[in-house]
Amino acid sequence: MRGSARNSAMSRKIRISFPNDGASATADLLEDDAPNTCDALWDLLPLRVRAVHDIWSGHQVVAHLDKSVVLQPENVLTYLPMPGDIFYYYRPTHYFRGAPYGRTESAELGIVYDRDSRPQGPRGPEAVNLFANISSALDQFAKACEDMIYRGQKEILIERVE
Amino acid sequence: MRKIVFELGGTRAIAEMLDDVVPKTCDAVWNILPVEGMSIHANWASREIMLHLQGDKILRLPAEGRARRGTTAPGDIVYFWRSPQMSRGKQLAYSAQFQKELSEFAIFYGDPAGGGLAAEDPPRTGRDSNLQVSTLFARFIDAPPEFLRKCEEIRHKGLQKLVAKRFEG
Repeated sequence: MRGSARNSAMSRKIRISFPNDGASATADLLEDDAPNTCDALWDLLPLRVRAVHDIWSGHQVVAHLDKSVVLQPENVLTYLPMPGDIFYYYRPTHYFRGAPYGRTESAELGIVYDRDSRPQGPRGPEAVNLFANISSALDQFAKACEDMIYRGQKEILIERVE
Repeated sequence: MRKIVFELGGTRAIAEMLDDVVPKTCDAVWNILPVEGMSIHANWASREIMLHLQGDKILRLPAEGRARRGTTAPGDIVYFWRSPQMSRGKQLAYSAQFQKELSEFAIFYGDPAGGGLAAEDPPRTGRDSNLQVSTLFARFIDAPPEFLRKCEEIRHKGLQKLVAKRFEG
């Protein structure tokens, strides 16, 4: 059963937008499966960050969080995500060789927008905290994600849906 | 050994062809130079940009040399062909005729190179199916940091014009 179906209809929702594209989608937090991750990220909202297309994992974009956002592993069995899945992951100090983009450690959100994707990094497949799933407007949102292959990084806005 | 110069965003890098290892592939590549197009960043194979071949520049070459197993090093330049049957969706940066059939130079510019789904998933490699060809045919011998930065910029700023031509120096 999908996470979004497994969690109650009363779960909190977030809106993810590309303000410059006019593309927006709504996601349900998977509070039963990842309560601590959901709480921690909910408390950070609203977030306005740069997103870039992934170069390891397929149809996925990533948004870098402040490195201080270090969360414990939770709901990490999903390494073959579905389109619309949103996850958190953390790469500790010394994970990278050198400091790509000036980072020696990294806290990130990943958004999977199409199938045939698998969270992955320089050391292979990643265990990630799956904490949300897009429940509406994925098609339009996916087009804006794919467009990043051709136009580069974009600003992304994540807000609470109250 | 013959050499190729790659020009990207006001920078350039020089590669040496592996004439003694894959002579047929090198001849075929040499014969279509110069080639130019909008280079695109890889989504599966880490620090790699691609120069798409199309129109009268398209190459459909058989495999040559020792079979590769995803062990790609920074500086490697690979001839890559993928049959339309291997593709799902379209590569929208390319002209309509060539959005599903991929013929391109895969340029691995950074470390680590060649990981990601392309290396880890055997079905994705087209192994044993003849639906995909991946032949290492050249290596950079002079790739200054500013050229490598321009390669990485494609990920952040989008497509950029890339030219490959014979180095006659």
